[in-house]
Amino acid sequence: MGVEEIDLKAEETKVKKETLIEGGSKLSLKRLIPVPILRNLLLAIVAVVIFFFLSGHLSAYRNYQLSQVGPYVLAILGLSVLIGQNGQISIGHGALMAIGAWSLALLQIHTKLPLGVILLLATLITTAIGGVLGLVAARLRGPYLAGATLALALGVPDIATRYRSLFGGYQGLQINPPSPPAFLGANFTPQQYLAVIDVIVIVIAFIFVANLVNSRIGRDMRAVRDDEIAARLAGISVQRTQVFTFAISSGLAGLGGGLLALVASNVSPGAFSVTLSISLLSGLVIGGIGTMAGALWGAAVMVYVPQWATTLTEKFNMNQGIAANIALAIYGILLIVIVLAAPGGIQGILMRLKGLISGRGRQRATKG
Amino acid sequence: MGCNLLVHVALFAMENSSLQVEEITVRFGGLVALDRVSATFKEREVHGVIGPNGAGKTTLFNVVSGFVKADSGKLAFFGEEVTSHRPEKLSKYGVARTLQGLGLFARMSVLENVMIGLTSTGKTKGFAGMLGFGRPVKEERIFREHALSKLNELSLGQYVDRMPPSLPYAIQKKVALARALVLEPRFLMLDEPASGLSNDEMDELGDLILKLSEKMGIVLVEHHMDLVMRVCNVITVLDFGRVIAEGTPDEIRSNPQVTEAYLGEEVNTN
Repeated sequence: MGVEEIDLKAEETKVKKETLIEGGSKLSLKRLIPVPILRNLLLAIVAVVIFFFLSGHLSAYRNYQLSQVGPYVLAILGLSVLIGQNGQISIGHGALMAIGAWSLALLQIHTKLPLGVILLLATLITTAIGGVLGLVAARLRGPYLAGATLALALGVPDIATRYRSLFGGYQGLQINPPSPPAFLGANFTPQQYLAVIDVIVIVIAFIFVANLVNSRIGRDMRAVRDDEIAARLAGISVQRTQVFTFAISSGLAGLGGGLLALVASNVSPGAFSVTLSISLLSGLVIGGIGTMAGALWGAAVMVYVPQWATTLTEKFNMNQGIAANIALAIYGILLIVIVLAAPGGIQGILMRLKGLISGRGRQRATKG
Repeated sequence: MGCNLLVHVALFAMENSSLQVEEITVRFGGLVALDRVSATFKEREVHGVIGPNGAGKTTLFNVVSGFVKADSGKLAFFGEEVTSHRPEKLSKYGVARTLQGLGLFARMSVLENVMIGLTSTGKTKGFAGMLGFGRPVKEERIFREHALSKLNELSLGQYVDRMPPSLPYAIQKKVALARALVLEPRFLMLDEPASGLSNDEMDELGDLILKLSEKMGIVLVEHHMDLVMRVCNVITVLDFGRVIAEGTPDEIRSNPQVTEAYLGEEVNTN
């Protein structure tokens, strides 16, 4: 028995080594194109082209549904950078989305700039405001930071109702939905166009964030997250890193807000309640903190779960009281289940499945 | 003692390859943590700082690394007076420090932990980090190569992708050391590097310290007397925030004041 066991162990380590070596020499895109921006651009173009053709086969309603996901993807991605990479918290990202949304609306109403420029400006404005807020945030920790950002979520929408002539009050501001350019053909619906804009914007944001996370700056963010004292000894300015991260994260939320304004053709205080900020946080947890793909799953859950819940209540003819709350109930149950059973969120579950499929040997070798 | 002080004052003016603390006093409220402490840490020398718990060893480290501001006294690195010191500046002076509690980044790989040791040399500024070409990418490759070679040098090559908490404590200590060494510092400050190590591991650490001291100055705060006596060229003894003795291991061993304050019995290295 004893000898057999030892043999088995030796065999196992041999297999481990082999899989490791194989993994190292495998032909990968990373080896084929070593410059990250080229590699990412290639992937981005492939993604946009595929989506472009796919969206043509979807109904206008399905495209509209998809385009609703985009804004939340960006905002959750921003939260993911802030919380997952840098260890700061924000319960105020809904307010930052509002800043982006009003920036876009005001720019669209008062200027004749092209859509791309307006989206970029809305992002930059929110980044700048986020930088200022970051100065405050960098002085606060844990619950105090949560409280301060919560105040942001409560306060910002009220500004719109106070300065009615500029921000439109309770009704908000109307926005012209972008109409697809003529060369796309008469069959190209505005809904499809919105979905395609969404995907292009998301892909660009993902490229930038991926580069950032993989750069020295991204590593500094994580160092600050894990141990501030050790980070300082390595020469990292904790405050500067936190302010920068807050600004970037805000910019992403602002871009998301700009998209939300386009998708909804309207910017009003009701759309940016505290609930939005908290939904973004739970979307992040459900999707998976610290992973970029997690933002996609989290946003999809935010949009689709309430809609499925509505369909469900209609199908079973439930009474009004249940119908109004079932989406929240499902959301809550999902959150509890994820936190208890899969702290890595949906992305964590997917990665675990992938690990199971691609062989247990390698997983063990990396996990040790 | 008075004679020692004079030597320090003289050195302070001329020495430019050493770290000097000069008459440093630190008070925490009513408690005097350091009372006019002076010491000169020289390059290619292992300088031990010993003393009973609460003697002020770590406070002295914290003053040198910029975490604690001295109420009075001077700090000079390589002949240059340091006026507004902060921990962020320490690596710029070519001084690296390890922490008592390791301070490894728990959710970053061993490789990334060591790469952080190089981060102060990086020139990529915030937004440029978002561009996936040019300097940030090149810088990243250089960092990676440096970190890998340092890890291999300390025979940690097999752990590069591991997360620190999954490693044995002795290996984690070595990773922390690799992070401090990757910048090729002129001075290395070790805060209780032997705590939690077995006797064999401690011997290995002693060998490593002696080897490192051929290239850099080492300041060592340590409780294990046999290690201190083995590797140090000079030892400063603190008690209640004061320097009560300074000298070679032999001098310290035979100093009755040290014996009384530090051990309460005869120093025995066996």
